[in-house]
Amino acid sequence: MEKVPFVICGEQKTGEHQVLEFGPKEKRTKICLPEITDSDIQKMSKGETEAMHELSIDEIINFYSKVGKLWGSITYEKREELVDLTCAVTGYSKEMVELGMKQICWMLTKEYLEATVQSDLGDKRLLDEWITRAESSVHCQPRGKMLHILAGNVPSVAIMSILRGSLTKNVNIIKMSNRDLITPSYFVQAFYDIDPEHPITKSTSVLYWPHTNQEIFNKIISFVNAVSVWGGHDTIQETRRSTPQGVELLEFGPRRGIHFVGKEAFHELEKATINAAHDLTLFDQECCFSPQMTFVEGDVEKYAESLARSLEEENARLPKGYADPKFHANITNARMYSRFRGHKVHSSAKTEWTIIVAQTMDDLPTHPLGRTIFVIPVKDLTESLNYIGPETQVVAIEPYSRAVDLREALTLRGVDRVTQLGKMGYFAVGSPHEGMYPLSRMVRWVKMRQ
Amino acid sequence: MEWEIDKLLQHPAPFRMPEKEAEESKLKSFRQIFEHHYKNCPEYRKYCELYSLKPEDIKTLDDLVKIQPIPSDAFRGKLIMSVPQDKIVLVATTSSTTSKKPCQYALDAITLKRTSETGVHFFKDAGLTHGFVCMLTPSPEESDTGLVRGMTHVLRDGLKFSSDNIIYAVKSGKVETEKAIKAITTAHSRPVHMYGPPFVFMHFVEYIERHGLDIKLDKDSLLITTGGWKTVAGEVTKKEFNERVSKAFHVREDQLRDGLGLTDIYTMILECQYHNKHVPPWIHVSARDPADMNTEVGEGEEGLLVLMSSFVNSYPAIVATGDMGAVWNKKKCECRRTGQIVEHRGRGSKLGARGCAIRLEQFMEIITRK
Repeated sequence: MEKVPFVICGEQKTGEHQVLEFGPKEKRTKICLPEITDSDIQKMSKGETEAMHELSIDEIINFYSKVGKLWGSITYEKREELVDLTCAVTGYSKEMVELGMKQICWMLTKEYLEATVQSDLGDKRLLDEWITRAESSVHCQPRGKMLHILAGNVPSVAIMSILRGSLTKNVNIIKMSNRDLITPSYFVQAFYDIDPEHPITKSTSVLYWPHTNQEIFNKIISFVNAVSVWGGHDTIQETRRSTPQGVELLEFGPRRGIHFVGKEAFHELEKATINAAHDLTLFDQECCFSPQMTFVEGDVEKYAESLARSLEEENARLPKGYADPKFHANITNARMYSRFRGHKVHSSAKTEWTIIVAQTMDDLPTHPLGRTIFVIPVKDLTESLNYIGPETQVVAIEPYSRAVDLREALTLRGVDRVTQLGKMGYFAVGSPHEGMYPLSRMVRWVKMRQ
Repeated sequence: MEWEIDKLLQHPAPFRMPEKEAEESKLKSFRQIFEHHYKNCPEYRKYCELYSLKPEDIKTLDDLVKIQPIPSDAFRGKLIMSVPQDKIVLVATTSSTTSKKPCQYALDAITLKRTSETGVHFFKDAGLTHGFVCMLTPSPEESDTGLVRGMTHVLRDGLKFSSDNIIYAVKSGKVETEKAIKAITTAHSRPVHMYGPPFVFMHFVEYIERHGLDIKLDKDSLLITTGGWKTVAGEVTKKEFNERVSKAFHVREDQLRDGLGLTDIYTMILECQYHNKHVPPWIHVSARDPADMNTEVGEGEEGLLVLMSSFVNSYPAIVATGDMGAVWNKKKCECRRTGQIVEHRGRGSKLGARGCAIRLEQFMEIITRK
């Protein structure tokens, strides 16, 4: 039994009010969570927004860079516990969780944090000062209290959401997902280890309640000023329905990625498929940027064979962890369906990875994720544009030189990001996210006419 | 050709056949039907060839695991047939909440005749042979689902129920609660049986409780649930469901029998009085390792269910439904029936909820939910 604490305005509490079980039958991990009381909710409703506002942006960046250094340190006592528990709860392999930790530590560098503020707001001074812009003095005020509803599929994304809330001087209330009850809790516990009296420490709360408990949600939503919601269709719809008018809502809903492989990529095919395999493998394809389909100009079978070899190698580097048998069943079902329909299926011995080569888009199975890619031949990459819409977040193109010709058509159809194979899971510093600069929506832009 | 399945269906007590006799008949009937589909369904033959599987490879019952199942999604929007199209007399459908295309199963006269015979065996074995049946469903004129049409077919053609002794409680998307209650309380033919999805049973229970009605069914009535527990699952436990239904209709809990609707192979499996679902020898159920379909999981362990029927002539009723479940090949039940026992453990995630009741739920939701 592992007691994972909630943090209420900097104070940790443990308990056995809820017990959730994870992992295979023969090796279950039980996670005990405390109760959320009315007094906890009342305390959060009075969260120290003023103390957060009084911090300078440099103080905030300094604080988080210290957290980054602590998390990056192999001597930090909670690190090993965090990695082991994250593996047990999320089912990700140790290698994958370590990769996630590296991503988080990179996000917690001063350079990344500074660049994020600078690119999202245009000028980081706006958070501390009134800056002249044309005829006005402009300033960014925090929205106040911000609720983060996390998805739990990618550890770094949870941290990204929390960072954004703090960088805009908001008070963070973090609702963990039962997919990952560890990373956000341990991240916020580290605040205490850095400085128990810091306004970020004393104002941050992290907790979990099941999505069916509408009562807690309703109590919390009644006093927050902004919501950042990550997750599937149902979560987004439900949050949208329940968020009162006037509360800023930032949605990060379900989307997908697509690979475009041009004929020129065959000159260095192995390099291309190694990168493609990495995109596909990252967090077992559960991310909104994960590729689900590849359009190939040229010999599609040759591409699939090379990708199969690369996936085998990538699987050795970043092995799949534990998944519920139902997820294996989805993959098996998709393979059987594809074989019955006459598609060519390349696959690992078990369900580590799957490549389904279909001649057209007409008769594909329901996508099972779990490192599965549909590969479709096209005469010209422009043909693929017919299958691109706003559900596609990112398109990775090989060779990247083809991207310039395609980017206008892709983004007009709803794509937000064009990148290279192998880079889908790595957001360039200073880039917008889901068609916006999120920090710019987490503040109120105020002005005084000069 | 003399079909072993037709011989098997003439058996007076197929659920209680001596094990050896049942196994021999089962093997023979499955070898015949597999060869039939292999020879007459080109898509299925091509599929088997991918696995280098031929009819002569099936030598023992243990070889049934080699027979490749078709995922039920492959029946969506496309008829797969082992007989010429002009032999098809009925197309049964199931639906999905995630796909607009329903699964379609082509049925010929031979299959329907055998369906009727298997249905008669199921209901005779359970004790439903005469009386009055209140179907908590639309009529077959309003629904083309296997749940409705299959049961009606068995009642009318197999068990020879007259149309006066069958009532359908749902008309034009509305539950005719009062009319149905009047019918079951005044029916001259006894015992009165009820058949339908759990959520419609709960609709009646709530109505009876709300109005304080005193409704007594008979000591040999059967209340058969089928079509999925999805809607009631979040509201009442199965234990509470049984208690409330028993109380509302004044019946014992062993009169409540859950039926596992296997629409993909156009049949159902009924619980015995000890609530075990016994598989007859014309059906073979296998729980496969979800990560390796060629391997069966152990006795009673959860796996991906593969259903095979030796009585469906018109399409290869060898289907991986995407449902999870457990199978016992050696478990003994107090009722002394022989053969496999199966337990349904829910649907595979993200595969989409399927089954007739889901579709019934969709159009009945407004009137049954407050």
